[in-house]
Amino acid sequence: MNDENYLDQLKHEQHTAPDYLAARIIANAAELAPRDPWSELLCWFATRRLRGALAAVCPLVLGFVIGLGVDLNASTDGQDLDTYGVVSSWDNYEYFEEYGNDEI
Amino acid sequence: MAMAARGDRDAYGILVRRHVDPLYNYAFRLCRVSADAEDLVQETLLKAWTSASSFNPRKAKLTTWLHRILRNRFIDTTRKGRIEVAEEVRLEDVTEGFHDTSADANYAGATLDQLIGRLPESQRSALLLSHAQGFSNQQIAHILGVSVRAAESLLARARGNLRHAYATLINESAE
Repeated sequence: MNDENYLDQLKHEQHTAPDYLAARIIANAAELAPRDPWSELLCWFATRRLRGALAAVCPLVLGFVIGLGVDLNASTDGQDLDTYGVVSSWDNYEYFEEYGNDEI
Repeated sequence: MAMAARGDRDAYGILVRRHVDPLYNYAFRLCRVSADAEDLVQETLLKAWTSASSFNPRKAKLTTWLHRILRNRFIDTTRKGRIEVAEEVRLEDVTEGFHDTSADANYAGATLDQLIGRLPESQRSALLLSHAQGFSNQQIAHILGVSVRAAESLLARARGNLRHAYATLINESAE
């Protein structure tokens, strides 16, 4: 038996559905109403795709928030405002001490 | 289909009667259990009824769309364990059980079904859609959700594996 023969078998040997199947499907469909496009869309979002979409978006949002925090911190060169103020005062104090108030 | 989408039950009845046999043929060859095949066909056609409005005739033919739904349902149900399919094993191992030298057509058909049943699902689907259902490579690509080139590759591998398994079987029978 060559290739053509055994693959042709697939075409010639068709399995047919039992007689009752079509009637059963039509009867079952009678209990269901076709959904309009909006409820189809709602259903689409309510399935596992929503979970997939959330799983994809959540790390992005989290990364964005963390990135935003890092940027804010970087704008003061890693120092918070209070620390910066104290250091600044000390600089002035030393300056005053060295030259005295009159020389300024 | 447009009438079925508007809730016309008579139009839906015609659609079911027209497509139930080809869908059953594909489903039966996929799961090889009559009850499972019936369930798959029923779920497919009910899904087509409830989602009729989402069918776009410009994207695909109705029969292609229905086969795509069926194939996706089959994958879902096998993942959930509702349908048990043969493990995907190497085709070299398949022929171990065949020692009947009969040339009887039924035996050959059963053997072919068993050999096809042992192919990986994507290859099996590509082969069945091409040779049993008569789809073009483009339609097969749409049903499987792959590119046309990938579908052609799947088909070539399926034919190669099947040819190899068949040749091994015949050689073993001749010895």
